[in-house]
Amino acid sequence: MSLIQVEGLTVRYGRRTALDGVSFEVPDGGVYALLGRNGAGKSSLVRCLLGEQRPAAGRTMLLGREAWRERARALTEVGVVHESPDAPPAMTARQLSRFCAPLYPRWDGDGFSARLRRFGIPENVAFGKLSRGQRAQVALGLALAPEPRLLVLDDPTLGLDPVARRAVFEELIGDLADRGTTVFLTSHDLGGVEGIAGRAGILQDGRLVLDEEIETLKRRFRRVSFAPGGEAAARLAELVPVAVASRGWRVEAVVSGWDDDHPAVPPGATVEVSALTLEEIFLALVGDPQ
Amino acid sequence: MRAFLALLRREIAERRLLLAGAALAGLVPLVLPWFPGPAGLSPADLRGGAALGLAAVAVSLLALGLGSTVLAADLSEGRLGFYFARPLPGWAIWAAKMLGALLLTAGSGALILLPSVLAGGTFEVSVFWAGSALLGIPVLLVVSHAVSVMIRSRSLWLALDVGALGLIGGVLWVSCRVLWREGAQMLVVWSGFGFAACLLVAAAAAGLVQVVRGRTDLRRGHRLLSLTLWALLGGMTLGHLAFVAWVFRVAPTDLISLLSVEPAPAGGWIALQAPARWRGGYTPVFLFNVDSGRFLRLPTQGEGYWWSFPDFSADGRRAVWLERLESRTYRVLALDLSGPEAEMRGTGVYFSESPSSLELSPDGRRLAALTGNRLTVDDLVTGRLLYSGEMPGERGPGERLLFLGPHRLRLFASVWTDEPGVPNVWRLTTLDLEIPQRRLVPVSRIELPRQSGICLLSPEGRWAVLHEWSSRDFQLADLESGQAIPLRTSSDPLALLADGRVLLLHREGRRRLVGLLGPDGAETLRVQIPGSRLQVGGFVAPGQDLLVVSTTDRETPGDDRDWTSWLVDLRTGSRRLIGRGMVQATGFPFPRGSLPAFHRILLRRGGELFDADPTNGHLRRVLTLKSPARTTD
Repeated sequence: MSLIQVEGLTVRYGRRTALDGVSFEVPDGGVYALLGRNGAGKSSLVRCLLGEQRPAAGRTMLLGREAWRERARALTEVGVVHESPDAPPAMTARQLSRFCAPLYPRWDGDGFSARLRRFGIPENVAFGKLSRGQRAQVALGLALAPEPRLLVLDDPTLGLDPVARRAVFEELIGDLADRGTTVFLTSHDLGGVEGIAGRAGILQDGRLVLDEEIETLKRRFRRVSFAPGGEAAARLAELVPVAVASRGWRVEAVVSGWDDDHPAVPPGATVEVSALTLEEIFLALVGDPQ
Repeated sequence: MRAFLALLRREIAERRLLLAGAALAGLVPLVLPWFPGPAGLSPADLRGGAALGLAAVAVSLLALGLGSTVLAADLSEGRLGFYFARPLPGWAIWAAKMLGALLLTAGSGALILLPSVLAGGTFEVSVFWAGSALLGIPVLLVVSHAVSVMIRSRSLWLALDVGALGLIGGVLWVSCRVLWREGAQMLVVWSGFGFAACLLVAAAAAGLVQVVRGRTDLRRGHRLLSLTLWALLGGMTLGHLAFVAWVFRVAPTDLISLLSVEPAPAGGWIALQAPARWRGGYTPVFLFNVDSGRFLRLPTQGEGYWWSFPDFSADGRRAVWLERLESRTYRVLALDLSGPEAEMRGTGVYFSESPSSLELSPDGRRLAALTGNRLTVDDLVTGRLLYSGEMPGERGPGERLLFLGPHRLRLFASVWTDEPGVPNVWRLTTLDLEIPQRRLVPVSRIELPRQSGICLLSPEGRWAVLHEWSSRDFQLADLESGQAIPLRTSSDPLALLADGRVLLLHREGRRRLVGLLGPDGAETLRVQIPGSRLQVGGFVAPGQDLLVVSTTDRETPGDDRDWTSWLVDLRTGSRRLIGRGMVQATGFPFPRGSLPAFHRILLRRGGELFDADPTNGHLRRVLTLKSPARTTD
């Protein structure tokens, strides 16, 4: 069963189309990372997903419920962390936990407190007085405390230092390992995403240009470096070049459609082939082609 | 509901310091009496007044402050997403935050008042102000939320808001001004309350829609809020306009609790004024034809003096009416009552202020008016000003004008001299103005030792009943000879018939008698009438000397069921019962001058007006009011 179903989602702001017919699914137990440059439409998609924004066309289903119409019911089993961790600034973490507890069918208050203790976050300090990293941990704790079936994380590590970023992802991985929570996240931290996500989608100018298992993705993309002309260049041209750059007397290209079992390079050819990280694939797909 | 309660608790807990501050502020009025303060105020008054003032200011500021921040600030600063990321329905977010703000505001007011209440402070709050406060606090809250969202969104929709506010405000201003000018002041007050209630509903609904449908998007929320708010207020404004139009479509059959009735001296037209049903105290003035049932609503004179009535000509075919204009001047309207329909037209005659005395010539062509110190005579047909001059003689209260014919106006001026070393005297001077010659001719001067006034005046201006204020004695004065004869009565009621004869009530032990005095003061007839109180009508059918007399045993006014009406023949003294439970509507409640000829209108409790046939005493119902008519006598 898919916990998230996005069907033909279109969002417009006046004449500008922010999302154009986006469709994808996130199956139960999966970790889906939605990637895209700033302005690609990620935040609009997350708002539609959480029922905060009504799409111009299409729909988003959250745990089988239409997100716009049945937002409150659907969110009883969803934990959410927004882009910039938000909560009433005067409330302490303890007050936030007490406030949220009656809203959900389950609430692991002890787990929330333990998590904060683990990170040395005081429970009696106002949310507005915490550091950004601490606020992120509190927000994540609040999202995890109801033991949700689905976590929606909208760039939860934005603006955090590498240590805080790592801590957030460690928490996530721990929770995923414990309970098999389904996760939908957007992030600019592709290194972190690569460590936990099983599937990724890439938004570009409001369109979903890629929606694939990350392992498959990484197998499919390669960086090849070769001298122009010759048989190797002709064979490589049959692959799909995503990005091509000239490096002195050699050409460097990122190609899609690579198959390790049937490499497109003749034996003995002077071609350098290397695997790509998710970040490199992302840059090749949505970055400057040159 | 659980989510709503959780959020409501949170809202109150988060701002609990406001309540603590209010409790502290409530102690301030307690110590005020220890300091020098306004003289003449008791400590209880001072405490009560100070506590009320402090509470009013605090509650107003809190309503404005909380209303503009509890939701709008979270929305504009991106914090509302915290709530929308939780399983909280949109309605619960809006309702809990607004109710929390309302409870904090009201609770703060109560905490400020409480110490002074316990200390025995004096509170004088009218129902009006209490109602205004009860309505005003939530209105301030929801309106300040709406305005805050509009300003914070900084979108072009703000232009629509300003435009819609101007349009709706302008329309309401105009409609309320029309109501005010027509004398429906209470309707304006009720409209204000009604519109405040509508504003509360509209702004609350708009805020709810903004949160439920606009959610975390400020601009989209602003758009939804504006569309909802102005659509509802626009609809309510149209409803108000429809109501105003309905108010002014009033007919005599809509009237209740008849205030006053004045029949024309001749013909079938009567003027009547009464509050209209479901119109919030609006008391229109009608000309109503008892024969045809046709009617004309007169423009009310602004302040709505309920004794204001058209001035009829002697033949009942014309009348004049003053319309108060925006410029606070008065326009004379001429009413033509000769046809089946009453017609009203402007005359081109204006007064800069309300005339203290107004008199229409017997043929209805000329109008004499005393405005301030200036006497004017206008020809209403040609529009010519025939005379204008200072009112002659010594000035005093109770000046009267009376046309003796189309070219002759009789003036009555009275003065009470109060000069040291000179015996006090009340002096009534009668003069005639020869209009074509513009010449004043002295007629008579009557001096009385005690301060008096003209009580009744006969139609041809010769006879007057004078009333001595201190002794309550009455004198019958011949204004042409200057002679005054004491009347053998010392109390009302009495009436002056058109030929100078006087009707008065005698009390002889338990008996009640109607006496008829000739112009010389000699009693010519005495008729025994059952009942201790008496109301007399006028001559009906000249030459027949028939008089309508209504009597009751009740000494206190208010119950008209006990009245009995008789037709009395003044030549023979015989009387005939014509109806029960009716009082006469002549000059009701105060007869003006002498009894008009052909008066025949009776009013029955239950709201029916009857026309009595003078020849046989038969009654014909000519108008039924909407609900029980309250009459006074």
